Amino acid sequence: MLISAPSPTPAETLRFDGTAPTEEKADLPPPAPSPWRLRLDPAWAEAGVLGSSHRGTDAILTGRAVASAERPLGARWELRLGARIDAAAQGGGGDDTRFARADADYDETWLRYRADDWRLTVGTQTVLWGRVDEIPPTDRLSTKDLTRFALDEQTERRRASLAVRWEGFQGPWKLDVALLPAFRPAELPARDSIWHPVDRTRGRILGTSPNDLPPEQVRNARLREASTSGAGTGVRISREGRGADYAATAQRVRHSQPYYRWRDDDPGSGTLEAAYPRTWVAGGDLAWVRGGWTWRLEGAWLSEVPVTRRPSPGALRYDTVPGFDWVAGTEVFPGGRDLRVTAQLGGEHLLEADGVLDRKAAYYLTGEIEDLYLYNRLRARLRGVVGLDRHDLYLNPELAWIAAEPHEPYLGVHWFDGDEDSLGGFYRDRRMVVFGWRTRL
Amino acid sequence: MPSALECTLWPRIACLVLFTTLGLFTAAPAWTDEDAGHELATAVHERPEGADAVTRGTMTLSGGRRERVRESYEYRLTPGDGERLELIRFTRPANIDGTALLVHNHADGSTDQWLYLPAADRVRRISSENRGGSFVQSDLFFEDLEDRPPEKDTHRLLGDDLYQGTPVKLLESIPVSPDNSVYTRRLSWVHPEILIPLRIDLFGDGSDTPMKRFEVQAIERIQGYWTVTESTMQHLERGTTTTLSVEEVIYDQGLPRELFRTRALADPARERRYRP
Repeated sequence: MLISAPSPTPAETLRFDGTAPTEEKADLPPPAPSPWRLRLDPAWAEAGVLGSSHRGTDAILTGRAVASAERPLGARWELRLGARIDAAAQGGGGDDTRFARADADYDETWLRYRADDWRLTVGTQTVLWGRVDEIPPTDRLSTKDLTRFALDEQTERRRASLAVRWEGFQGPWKLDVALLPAFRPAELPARDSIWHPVDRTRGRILGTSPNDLPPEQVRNARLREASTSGAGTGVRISREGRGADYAATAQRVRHSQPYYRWRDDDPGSGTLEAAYPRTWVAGGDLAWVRGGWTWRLEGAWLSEVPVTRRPSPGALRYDTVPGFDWVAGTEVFPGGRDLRVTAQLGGEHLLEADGVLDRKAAYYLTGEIEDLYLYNRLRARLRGVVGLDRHDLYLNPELAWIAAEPHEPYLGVHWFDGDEDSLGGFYRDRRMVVFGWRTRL
Repeated sequence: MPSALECTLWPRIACLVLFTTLGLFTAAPAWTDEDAGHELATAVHERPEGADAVTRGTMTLSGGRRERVRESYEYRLTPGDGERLELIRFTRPANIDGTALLVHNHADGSTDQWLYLPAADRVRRISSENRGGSFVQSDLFFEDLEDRPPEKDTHRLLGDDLYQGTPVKLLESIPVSPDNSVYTRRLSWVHPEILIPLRIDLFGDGSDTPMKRFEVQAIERIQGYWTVTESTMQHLERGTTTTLSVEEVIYDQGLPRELFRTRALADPARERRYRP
């Protein structure tokens, strides 16, 4: 039962600024607030100017707005409606890849029932599991948004999917069960976008070597989706309490990110098919603090990771093998002030993978450095990914003016470099300077 | 009528910032009394503040061309076994709406701390060691929000003084270990009956000039607990000021311990029924 705070009388008020206590006048009761909570979260617009001498496009414009309306329905029910618009345009330069388009999509739209020790959410939602930053190995239920590759922060690189989610609580323990009745593949950019993983102009596929896939074949290939069906499901049990947080998960899901293979393993088909194989996932994560350092570990074993084999010269065969992904990360505030540093060391391993064209092991370092300047009005940040076993580099320095909150104008750079079959190498010609504005209302 | 006293989040700064610093206070009179200083510091720290409290407050950041205002709710539970549990939920501006911090201060001095970022819908365990980091870009350091036991400092009662015409006790506090504070010394003007510091000068890097100054403008007795309702923290080196106002506060609702789990951190609807 709530207790109303009594109004203080002047005798119970002491002032120390030279003014005398005044008797408060009775305020008129405020108008009843609307039960709806309306948000625009986030909204942003950005212009990018490409700087590489080999660029196919001179400039790109991108914008996004996610709107939502939320309200309680009685004491235990809650409703959320969400929608988003993504707009993109690119033009100029030597390639004939100019386009402009806008796409509407649903965002999180659900009905939730909340009991004392559990809650049930039904509708489109983002189930984001895992504990480390950037690339959590156990985050397999969420749908990836690849419309801007990895330019956005991890939380903005996800789309909502239809799901039924039950979360039960007992003290510091939580049991999380999710069922996705229909598979939603990763959201890809427009076919001619500079961020599409299949570069039609150069005849390249992200993550593959031109020696394995002749550019001429890729350039003329048609793209199609493999048929996908079947539900995804997962369970995660976690504990967040004194000393350490940890979790274990088991999932049966499809890979959200497409893996391109020749249709019927025949390059002569002229069709690249996006495959999303189903896999079992077993993994866990752990976090603890030691001194000023927060440590996070996460790993996942996967029963099916897509690969390509070369059974004979000139032939390619799609297959799946087991795999193991892991990340060890830390977060620290050097000097105990506003400077914040995160770093994650990660590895991806293909098991039982003799003779595959794909990399059997890959090691990388991701991280972020952030600090405040000009009396906390200017934020400087550097995000990056560095390949450790090959030349692969992505850097994103950014300056943001945060004194005009909730609005945030910013200036940044996206810098790519690397070997031909690396991410940085694939996007090398997309280096660009960006300036934009983001807000949350 | 109980003569209980209270410090909630914003006013709690007055209680917490009280203890510290290095350097000699050259004006210290000859009758300096360390025992009396420790006794006063302990009395301030241990004064009754209710079993729990919920506070709606605003924080106004001044010093630039444009003021920045943060609104939040703070939930505090003192179970009585030496623990102190706190949940701070921001509701304005929109870019931090829903962001929340959960702090478990344990009796042995250790702390567990989690941050909830609604955009990520994820709870993150974080370290509590960045004491000198600015709290939501204000003039408050994270250390200013700590539940700092008096044992972390050595205290000296320097004598009597006046603050805005009110008789006060002047207390000097210096960290026992330089590693446990970003401040090297604190000088507090403590109201002798109410036991609330009305002004605190905070020194850093061994300087004789304070880096920051905390001042109380108003105290009200609410449900029998004295509550700092208006105060400021000035960053004297930067020339910026953060104004702290308590808009509403409710004590002793019987807040459940479940409100201070990470499940509540990630689900604001569970706490709304307890708001003023």
